[in-house]
Amino acid sequence: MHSEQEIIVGCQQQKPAFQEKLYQLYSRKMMAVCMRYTRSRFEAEDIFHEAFVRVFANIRTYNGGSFEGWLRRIFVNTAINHYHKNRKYQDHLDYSLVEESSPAEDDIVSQINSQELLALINQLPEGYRLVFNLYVVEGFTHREIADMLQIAEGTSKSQLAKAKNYLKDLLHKYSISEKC
Amino acid sequence: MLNEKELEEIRRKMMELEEEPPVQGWASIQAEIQPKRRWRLFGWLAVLLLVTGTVALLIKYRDHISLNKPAPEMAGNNRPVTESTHKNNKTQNTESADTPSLHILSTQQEKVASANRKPIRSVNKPTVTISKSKNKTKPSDTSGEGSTMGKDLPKTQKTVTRTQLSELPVDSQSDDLLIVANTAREKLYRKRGNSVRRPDAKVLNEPVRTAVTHSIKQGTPIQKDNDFRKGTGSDSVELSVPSIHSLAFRDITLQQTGAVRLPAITPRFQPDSIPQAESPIKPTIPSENRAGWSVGLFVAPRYTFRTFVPSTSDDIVIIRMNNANSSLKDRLEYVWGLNVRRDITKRFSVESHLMVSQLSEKLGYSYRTDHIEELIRTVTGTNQVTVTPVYETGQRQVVSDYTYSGLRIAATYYFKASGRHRLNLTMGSGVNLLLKGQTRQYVNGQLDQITTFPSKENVLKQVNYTILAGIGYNYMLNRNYELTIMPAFNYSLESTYTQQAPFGLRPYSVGVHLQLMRKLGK
Repeated sequence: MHSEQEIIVGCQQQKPAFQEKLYQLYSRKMMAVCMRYTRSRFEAEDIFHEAFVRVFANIRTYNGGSFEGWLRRIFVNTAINHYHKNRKYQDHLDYSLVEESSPAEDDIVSQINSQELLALINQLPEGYRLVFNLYVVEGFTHREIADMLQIAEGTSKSQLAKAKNYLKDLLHKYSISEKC
Repeated sequence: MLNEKELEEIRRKMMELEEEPPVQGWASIQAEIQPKRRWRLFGWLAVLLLVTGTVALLIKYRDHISLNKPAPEMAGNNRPVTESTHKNNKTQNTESADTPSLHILSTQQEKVASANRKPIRSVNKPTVTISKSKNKTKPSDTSGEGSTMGKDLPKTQKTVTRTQLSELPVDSQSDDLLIVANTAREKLYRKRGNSVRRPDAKVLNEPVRTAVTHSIKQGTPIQKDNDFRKGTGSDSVELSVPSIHSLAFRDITLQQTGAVRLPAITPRFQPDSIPQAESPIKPTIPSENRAGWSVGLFVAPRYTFRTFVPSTSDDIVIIRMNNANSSLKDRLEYVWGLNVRRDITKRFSVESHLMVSQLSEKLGYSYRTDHIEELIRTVTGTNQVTVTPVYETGQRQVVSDYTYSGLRIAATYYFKASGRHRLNLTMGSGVNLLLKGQTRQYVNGQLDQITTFPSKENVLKQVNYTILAGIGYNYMLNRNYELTIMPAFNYSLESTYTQQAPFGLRPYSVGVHLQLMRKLGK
């Protein structure tokens, strides 16, 4: 059994056995990251593949710190690149139609499991979902998000606010349907 | 709006979330990261070949230099015997008397010594000591014809005694002058056109360099060039032989002033008298037979043909292949690279080629889709209705440009060798690795997709194996350089396309392999 550090060093030396171990160690978590940034599993698999190839290509540049954080950052960046490449094909959503939602019941979030929550997040419009994921889950600042998505910082803030409302509304609807 | 607590809960759940990766996820990632390692292996192989060649070159040159480099004492060694006796006596060093050993020079040293034409002091390398008698010459020891040799010599000089002569491994009874000769030396003289071999001399066919000594008596008639040839001796010359060393390997030139050219006497040879086991000299292999390394450059323009192989995963019905539109330019493949050759024997060699090839493919075909464009209803005379579907067809053109690197091992057999010319028969096989590739797909004339290697959608196979066969002509430009012109046939063992393409394509090419090789070392 190898430690994470040994696996990283093995990968830096491009040893196939260690590369496979790294894949086995993080593939499930990183696939979840990919799933959060895409609407379909098909797209997520594309990002997953591309990101892992980039990880192995650039693993020599990793120089300490949280490896999972470094790995996650590559996956997120790959997902954002993917978003930029495919933005022209994505449907434009009239965000003005998104209404302020009514207050939801407390503790809905804690009552649903991760998969259900993911499914709800994935129902967010593309831009909302990206900002929400980057800000809430990954912990990026609005400035960083603005740089990454090539939008204004204010846009990032407003999209986050709308995403929160939208998700609250989705959670509310979901809780009602569950009760029914 | 979600409050902070809810957001934190969402964050925690999302961070813990795990999803099943793709089934073939690792296989596809591995396939993409593996080629780099494979390429590195080829890179190391290439470097290894180059290093091996370079080392071989250095070793050859080192040997060459050490053989040709005159020993410090030898630099002033070789003075013609045609100089006067007094001059000889003046220039003769005393060291020779102190080292009463007979040395044999190699042909190369001999050449160097001849070129330098300076007084001999000693010869160090490579040497064979044949006689190590420490006896100083005494008149009483000498007998018969050889006994007068030491008379006119200075005291410091050494004379050769009969005892010493008897120790020498060659029959020297019939000759008068103590000289050292060998067959290689004799050849050298003959080459220079000043051979003065005695008519009754027996030619030594023994290739081993052997000390051959003869004694010459003072006053023994020595014939001039023509006389030697005629076999009639008329002039009589007295020779002073200062030492064995001073006579060894001198160019003996005939001069008008009564000086004589000593014949390169080839005496009778008694093989039994040579202690073979004691001789440290190894027989040298003639340079043309010596196995050696060569390096070279080659270029090979080829005209490419191709065969189509149906792909098993083909779900498109190809109606017609449109191959006729390819121009000559589209069908030419250019290959260039480096090669290293190792001559195993005079007629057989193996070589490795490290090459880069560039090829473009332009394919067009008409295909039938699954979409029914229209149905043709036909009513026969018996009121039987036949409906024939007409499927939609399309035109697809695939334009691929790709660059392969390759490593090939070939074996060459040479025949019909004469002078500078020889023919060769070459067979080889190798592996090509796709370095760069791009495929542009046009559907009904419109650019549909550009796929650049590496990519999952790439239709070009990454590794391809080839075989090569050719018969060529070799011409030695000079001692070291050889030009090869070889028409060659090259065949790909596998399709250059993956099964993602609706068909496989195996190119085979006919071209001219132009190669310039340089021999390493001597």
